[in-house]
Amino acid sequence: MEWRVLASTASNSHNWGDEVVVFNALSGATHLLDHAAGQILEKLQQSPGDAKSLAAILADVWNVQIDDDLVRYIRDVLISLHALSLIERV
Amino acid sequence: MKLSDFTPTVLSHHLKQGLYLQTGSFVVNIQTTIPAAINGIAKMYADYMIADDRFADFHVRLSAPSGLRRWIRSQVLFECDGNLPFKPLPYQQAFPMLEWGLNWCVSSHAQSYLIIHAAVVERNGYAAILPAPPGSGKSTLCAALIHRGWRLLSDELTLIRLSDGLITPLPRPVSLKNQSIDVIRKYIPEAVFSVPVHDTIKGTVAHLKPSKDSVQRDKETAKPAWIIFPKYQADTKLKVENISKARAFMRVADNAFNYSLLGSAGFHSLANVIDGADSCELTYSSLDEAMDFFSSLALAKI
Repeated sequence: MEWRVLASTASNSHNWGDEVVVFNALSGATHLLDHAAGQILEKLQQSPGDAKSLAAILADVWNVQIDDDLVRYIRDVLISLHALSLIERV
Repeated sequence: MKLSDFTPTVLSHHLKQGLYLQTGSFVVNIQTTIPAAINGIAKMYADYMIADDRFADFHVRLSAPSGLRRWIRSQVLFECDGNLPFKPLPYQQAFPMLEWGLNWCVSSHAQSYLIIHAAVVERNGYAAILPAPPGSGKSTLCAALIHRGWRLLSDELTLIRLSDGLITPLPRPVSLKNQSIDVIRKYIPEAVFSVPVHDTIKGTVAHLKPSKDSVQRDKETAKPAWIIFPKYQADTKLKVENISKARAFMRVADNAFNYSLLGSAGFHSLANVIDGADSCELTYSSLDEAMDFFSSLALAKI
């Protein structure tokens, strides 16, 4: 399942290293994300993707093995980002 | 011409017709015949300039309601541009009501600023923003600072200009409550207070007159340099804890009046402020220790 960043979120995020703040212009809500979730959102801003493709990119960045645990973790984060109305299914 | 240039009789006459007063970047037209309000205005706004009488950002009126309430348990009404945004208050609370009403006028209408519920003071061009919930000691700290070399930009409303991120002054009387009044009376014996008003929704309230310097420099903006979340805690040593920028962002946004209303502009404006400022939580019980801490901040910028 592919995901992309909602237009109301795109370009409304600010990264301060360990934490990222994201503003959803549609809901008016602001969310504080941890570094990993912020990076997933950032990658989706560059191009849509699914948990597997994101795992392939982020395994390198995070210096970890690509395995089922990583894909499952990214999928969980994607579901959380979707619940916050920051991303949508393509 | 300053308000103090008027004799009491002339001031009362102007207030009856509607007095145009310059408060920071705003001109307010105040109309009242209530003695408690007139006395408060005469004492607290003595150094403020009388504005041109062709324009006002807000027209406010303090009046007694008609009917029985004029005579039995008399009340005061606050009117802004023909609307009554609040329920009436007891008559003797006319001056605090004017102050609360003026805060409401600015926080509800001045949408070219990101407005934070925070005190803000300036030194050498740099501003320290003190956002905090009631009871945190924000106004006490602000009152002490403005008598120890800091300029009052505002006690209640930090106005961050959206166009350039600078803080626009809104120097108006500092609102003190309950024990804070005596604390500041002892700490700053020369401080000028309005007559304390008891049994308000906030307890006993008195206002502290801003310095002449703060009033005269009400067009001098300042660059946000520090965001300090004060917390008064009796019998503790001063404690300073740094806060991450993202967490500071969330806390300041929580204290903003119009952050959501401004949408992306508010988000980016606040992000820029947070980028350029150091943020910390300050726990204090001794005003002297707190003053030393603020002096060290200012010195580090020289």
